[in-house]
Amino acid sequence: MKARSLFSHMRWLAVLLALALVAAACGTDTDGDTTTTQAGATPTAAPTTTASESDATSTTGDAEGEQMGTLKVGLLNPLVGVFALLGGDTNLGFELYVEEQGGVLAGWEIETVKEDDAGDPTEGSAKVRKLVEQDEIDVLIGGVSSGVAYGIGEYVASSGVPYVITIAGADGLTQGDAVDNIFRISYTGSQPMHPLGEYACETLGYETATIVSLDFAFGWETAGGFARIYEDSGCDVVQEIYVPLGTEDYAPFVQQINRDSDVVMHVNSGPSGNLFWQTYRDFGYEQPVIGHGAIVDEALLNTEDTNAVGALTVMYWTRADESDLNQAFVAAFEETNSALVSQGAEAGYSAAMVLEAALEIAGADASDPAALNAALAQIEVETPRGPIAFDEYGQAVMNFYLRETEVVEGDPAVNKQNTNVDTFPEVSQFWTFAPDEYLQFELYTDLKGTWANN
Amino acid sequence: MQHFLSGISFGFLLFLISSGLTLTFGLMRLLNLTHGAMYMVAAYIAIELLDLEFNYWLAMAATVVLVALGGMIFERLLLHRFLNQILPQIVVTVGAALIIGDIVLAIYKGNPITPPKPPGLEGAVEVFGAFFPKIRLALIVVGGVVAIVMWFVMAKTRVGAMVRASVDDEQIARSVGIPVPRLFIVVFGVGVGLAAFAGIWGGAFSGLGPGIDNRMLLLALVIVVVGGLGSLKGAFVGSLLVGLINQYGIVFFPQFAQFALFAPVALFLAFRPQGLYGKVGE
Repeated sequence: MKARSLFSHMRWLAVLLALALVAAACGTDTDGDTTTTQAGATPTAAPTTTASESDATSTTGDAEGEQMGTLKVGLLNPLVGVFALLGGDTNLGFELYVEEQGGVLAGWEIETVKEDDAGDPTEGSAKVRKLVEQDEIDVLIGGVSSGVAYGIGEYVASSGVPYVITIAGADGLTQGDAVDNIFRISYTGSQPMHPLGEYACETLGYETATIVSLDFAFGWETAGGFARIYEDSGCDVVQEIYVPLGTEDYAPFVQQINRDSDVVMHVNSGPSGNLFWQTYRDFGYEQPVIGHGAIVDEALLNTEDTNAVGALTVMYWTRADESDLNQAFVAAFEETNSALVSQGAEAGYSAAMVLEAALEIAGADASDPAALNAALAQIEVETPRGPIAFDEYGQAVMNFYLRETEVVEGDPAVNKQNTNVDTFPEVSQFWTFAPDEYLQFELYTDLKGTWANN
Repeated sequence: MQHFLSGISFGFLLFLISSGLTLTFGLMRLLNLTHGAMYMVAAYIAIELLDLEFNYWLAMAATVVLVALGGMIFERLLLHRFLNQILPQIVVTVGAALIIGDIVLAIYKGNPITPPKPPGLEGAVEVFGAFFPKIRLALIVVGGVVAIVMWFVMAKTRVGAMVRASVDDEQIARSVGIPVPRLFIVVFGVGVGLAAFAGIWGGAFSGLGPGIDNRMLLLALVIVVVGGLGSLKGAFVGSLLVGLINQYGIVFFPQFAQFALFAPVALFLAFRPQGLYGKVGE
């Protein structure tokens, strides 16, 4: 009896393992799927005084002087799982700007409806339908996970509702699959990396580079963007190493880094950034590291030693940027929320400014989706990160900044920060190529592994 | 050579985690799926204690004891009710693991944290002409010592004989007067304690973040399948094997590294479900 029961236990274990393997194969954090989502997140009790057209004239409190009506904004962001922090901060950033304007943007009373996509495309699809069909939102804002953005892209495109993507990549949505009503104020994978490639070769003079990036679409696109321009500038990628998401032990990857290359170009995302730094220094590497801004996010820097100090990275926004607009935003956000400002917070705040600019152009027609889409396409607005405008594919053309990571004293919120040392002005997703030419290139995702061998 | 060392050191980390898992299962047919959560919780507790300016070694010892005690209480109050009921065990332990994981996520917001390294073990030393982190070398030493002590206790002492007897045939062991439940609590505590220690040191070089609990548990399960359920020797050999396969797989076939790690599992389940050193199933 005993022997048989042991055997049956093994079968259970096998079933369990198979399940675990499936979960692991799905790649992303299993927590995200299993945690119960707080379905039907509470629509904020927006200060809806429902100013109807008739009594609009009598409302005089607003600086614009004229009340247009109520505009419903759907905020679709992940509020649980690995992306919870970025998603939640995007909402907070958006609300902060709307509150600062007294709840009114360009004469439109803003009512927000928040939904949680849990970073999951299936969940996101259900929630976006609810927002569009049940809540009848006028504009959709948000998106952290590229998976969700792709998952809802087709539906949003067919609905015609203007969609401003705040964090997610999903490059196709503003390239091959571009439509009139999808805009992105974050970046395509390769957008920040093209200028870095040129700068590393021509200005910094690093002639050979080792690329350490992530082994999925985002990692290949960023690595490819860097490699193309770096090699076009006359320098040489000598090694490409791609690390799968969720790797526990970075040693086998880091140990392979060629100690003779001039520079290490690194791309990572979220928590594993620190893992790279830790392992890199543990194994005694001294080469300079350049890379994507996500490897030195301020939230990460606070929890690590001084391993990342000296890194040169590129990003469209820096917490320490000295513009008045940015300083005021950072102070207001950290004061209101007692938390460190993040990329998500800035994205939400800037999205609100982008919306305001579009509402000013569209005026009384803003409740018509076509008019609002046309207005969004024309905006030019100054935000904490600098000026934002859209190209004809709906992707933001904006400044990217080269920042150096350094130790700071006297700031209660951070012990290290990134400080801007150079600006790449008005960078297009197509770099200096013509869009048609660029879209003919073989996809970066297919070019993975080819840069070091030519 | 440095790849070998690196693979071995990761293997010893895995051994510390999987030995507890395999022992608990071998002894009581109890599959404790909170094992990964214990690993994670220990590292966070250690960080909290160190923030309070405790001495490193004191904080480490306190954490291991605390987590082991917590595990024992969990076993006594809850798991004990589900002895020999494999499905309820899975539901209870998976449930507990999810709750622990979400509490940690709620408190730490998913921000990554790295526990500090033990004093004196920061940085790298030169071994065979290559840099190698001290903490990984120390882990090899500690893992080796733990393995020897466990082998000694299991093979040469009275307690070990009692444990082995209970693993082989629980009913007979009980009938000759071995206090199986008490023995089990102790073994459970030791297993959880080892996972806790692994969390504090392993966290120092592999970092902590959401999902680390599940990933570590998955690796431990792989080892248990390869090594054989309930076999310490199996856990030892399996851990080193998985550590080395992981390292060399990544170095030589980066495209197939994940596959190389899990292929042995499929092969073992298909052709030798009892694993390397497991008891023969039927």
